[in-house]
Amino acid sequence: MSQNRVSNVYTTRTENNIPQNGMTSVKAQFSHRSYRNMNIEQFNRNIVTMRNELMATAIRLSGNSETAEDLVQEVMLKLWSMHGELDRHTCPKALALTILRNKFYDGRRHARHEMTVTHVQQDHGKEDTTVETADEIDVIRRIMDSLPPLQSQILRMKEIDGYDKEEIMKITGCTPESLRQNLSRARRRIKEEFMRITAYNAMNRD
Amino acid sequence: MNKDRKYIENLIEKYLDGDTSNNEEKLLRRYFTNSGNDIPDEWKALRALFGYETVQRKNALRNTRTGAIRIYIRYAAVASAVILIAIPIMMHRNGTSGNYAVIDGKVCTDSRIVTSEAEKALMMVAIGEDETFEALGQIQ
Repeated sequence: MSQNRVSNVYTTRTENNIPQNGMTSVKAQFSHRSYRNMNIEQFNRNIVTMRNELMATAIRLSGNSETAEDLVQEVMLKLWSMHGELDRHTCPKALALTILRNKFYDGRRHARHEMTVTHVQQDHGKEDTTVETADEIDVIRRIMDSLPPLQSQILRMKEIDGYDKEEIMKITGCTPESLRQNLSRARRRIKEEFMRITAYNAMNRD
Repeated sequence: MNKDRKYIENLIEKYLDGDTSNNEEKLLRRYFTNSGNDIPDEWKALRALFGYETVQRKNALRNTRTGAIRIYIRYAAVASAVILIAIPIMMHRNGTSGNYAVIDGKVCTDSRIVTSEAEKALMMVAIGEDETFEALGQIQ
């Protein structure tokens, strides 16, 4: 599988340079690729090796290997988000286990809520497409907020923060199939919720 | 036109399956940026999603830039504070405080010698303690 990588160049941009096409602006934004690669390799070596033990604990807590896998990936993402400060912790494994337990109990406390239909205010005085677009984006934002945390985090890393699939796999220690599933679930759910909400709004228009 | 639609439809299915490559996703985004409103309702969700992501990316870029600038300012402030403190210290140690004395025709900047010579010179013109109070007595 040879995927062409987006070549990331660290540049400075002036406001006048905002491109029409949203994609090319992605290149300027990320910290230098090779530096991030080095960090991911290091992270992968140090942290992902404790995965087996984390899985064992997660299975014991949740009784379910799918939930356990999701939990462990969430822990890895959390550790990655603080990877700059990890050296200060004398025992990363204890930290990881603590995060794991906290996430498990948090998940139980707040049952996953179904997305309630939100009425999105739409200004129909002017049939202006820019207003419509802003509303659409707001709907997406709400749906993203209601996704299961692992799905929304992975989608965000892939599409907003610009991580490659290989990088995400190295950080979470997940299989390609697991990553594909999470991306697919997130994307399909967004599409279905969006259609449901916009259909509801269309029905209730004055 | 229909062929293009069919191709996009296939890409969208692939995208929803989580199977698209980076290049294929780039293609989809470009398509939706230029597509306008003449697209099937089913596709509007994707257009909205890509629009949302573009906004989020711009926000993330703004944050890293201002974050980087803040960090830079912090480092610059510390660096300049260190420099400002270091200069007088270095000057004091070298004794190059700008004071000098001419002894036997040679300029001498050693602060200890300069100071002691200065004191000696001052002593020669200084009035003694008693003289000061006597001077007071002369005021009517």
